[in-house]
Amino acid sequence: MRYFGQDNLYDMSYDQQRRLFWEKVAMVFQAAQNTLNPLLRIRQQILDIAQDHDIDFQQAMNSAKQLCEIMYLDSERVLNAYPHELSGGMKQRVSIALALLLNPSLVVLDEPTTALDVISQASVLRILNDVRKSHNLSLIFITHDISVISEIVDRIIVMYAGRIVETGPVRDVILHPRHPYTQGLLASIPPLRGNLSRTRALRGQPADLLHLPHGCAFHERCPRAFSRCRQEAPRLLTDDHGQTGVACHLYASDSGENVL
Amino acid sequence: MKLIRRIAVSLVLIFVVSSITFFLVRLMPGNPYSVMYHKLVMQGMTPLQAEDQVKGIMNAMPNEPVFVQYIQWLTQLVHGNLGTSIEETGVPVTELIFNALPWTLVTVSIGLFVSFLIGIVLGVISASRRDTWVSSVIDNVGSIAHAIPVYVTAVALLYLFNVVWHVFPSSGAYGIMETPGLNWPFLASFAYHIVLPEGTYILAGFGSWELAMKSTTIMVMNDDFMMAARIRGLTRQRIMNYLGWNSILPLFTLFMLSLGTMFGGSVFIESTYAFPGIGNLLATAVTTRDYPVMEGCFMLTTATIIFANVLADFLYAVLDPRITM
Repeated sequence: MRYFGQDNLYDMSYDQQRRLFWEKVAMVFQAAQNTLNPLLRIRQQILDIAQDHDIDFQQAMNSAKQLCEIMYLDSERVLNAYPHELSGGMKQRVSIALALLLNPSLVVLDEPTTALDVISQASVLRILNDVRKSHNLSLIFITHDISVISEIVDRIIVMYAGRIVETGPVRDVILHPRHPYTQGLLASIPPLRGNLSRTRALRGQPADLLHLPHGCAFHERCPRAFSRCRQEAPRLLTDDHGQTGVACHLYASDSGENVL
Repeated sequence: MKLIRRIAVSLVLIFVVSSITFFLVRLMPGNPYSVMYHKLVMQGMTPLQAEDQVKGIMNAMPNEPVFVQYIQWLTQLVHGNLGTSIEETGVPVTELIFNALPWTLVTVSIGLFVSFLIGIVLGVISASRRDTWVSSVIDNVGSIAHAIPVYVTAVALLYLFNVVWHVFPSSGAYGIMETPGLNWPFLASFAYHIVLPEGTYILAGFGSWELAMKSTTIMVMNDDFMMAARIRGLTRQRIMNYLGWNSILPLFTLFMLSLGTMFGGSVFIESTYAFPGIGNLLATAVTTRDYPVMEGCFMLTTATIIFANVLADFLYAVLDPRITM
């Protein structure tokens, strides 16, 4: 695992790793409520990060205050609060602010909105979208909810049973899904208006990762599976620029050649 | 304001418990007079002589009803007087207690702190090497040491280090030649005499701390904020700091409570090592049915436990921001 052409993360010493963490790559967790040390005020936790990354306290506090403003948080109140004194949405926004504290170039977001109600979800997403533009950073957004991210992301990578099954710019993937799994995901989103009976769920259960089916991991649930799917796992075939790709026998010739 | 209310409630509690023990100790078979009477008869006196002797020593054979005695006891108590010992005729109970208290206080707190410290360190080690033999050795030794009753541990240590291998003294708190006070010969002799009692306190105590610390440490290790701290690129030292504070906090209340219960545990240990502390005083008072001394000791134990509890509540609120009084 490498980060922007640097050394392999797994070969690094603890101190080299921890320099990379948060200074270059930051993360927002799914249950942000629990990612703050319950015994320390938010201010102290910011100072801890600043101290361990050799950043001036005053400078860290200033950028923390700015970030609070961006997150629509009352910095006076929030910085002096203990985690349990904040609501779930506030804690989520605090943890996003913490992630941006050291100006990382990449932020990994692991379902950052699932624990929130719809209103907070929308505001967090709006904030993320603004911040990504103003701070010039990349987001990796891990989610099961395609509709939530389609507003924010540029590219979608659809994974099934731990493998990439389809990738492409968000418009292409949403408007012209090719892999049957992506098609199924999109079909399962209930429409805002119109007939709910048109919503279809994929049949079957998610694949058991300990006993993956032979061939394509998805073939047991795939409406368009044919004999080859049971024998052979499809490779991810990409177009010339590597911009779009799909791992499905429906789009491959017998020789495994690219037919896109 | 809340502190005042808690203290008032505590005082009422101590009063209630002491009143109950007042009647309970009198429900025990036998009484101080018959104990002394039988002792004298065993020594070869005729029953009549023995009765005369008892009357002479005790100056009276109290025959008031228990309730009248209780009222007398209450009147004394209001004046801060816990009565006088029956066995050591005329010596005030408070004097006996204050002579014994320092010995117990010092040994119990040393024993508690050392066993707490050992337990915490072993608990963290056991938690961080969870799936190895190190952890299972620590856990098993800890739970076995904790499971063996203190009086067995005390007798075993006494046998090993005094009878089989004579390295430590069997009784007392200091050598007969020393004068208690802040002088080196006395302190050295005291340290030498308390090795076995402290060993017993520590052996009996560290196991429960170790197991409790292990479980809270593992719980905190799996908390999301520990992983987040790692991803935030914090130094190892700071992560250990986060882990330590969050795992020790739940043990704090237990620690304060055991301050009180250690007085109870000291009964067995001090009587085994003939150590001149509260535990020994109480044990002797029970065998001679010395009611006032027993009541005094019970009152002290009750008060320590109740006030340790109040103190724990307040300190916990100071230490843990999530708790308010």
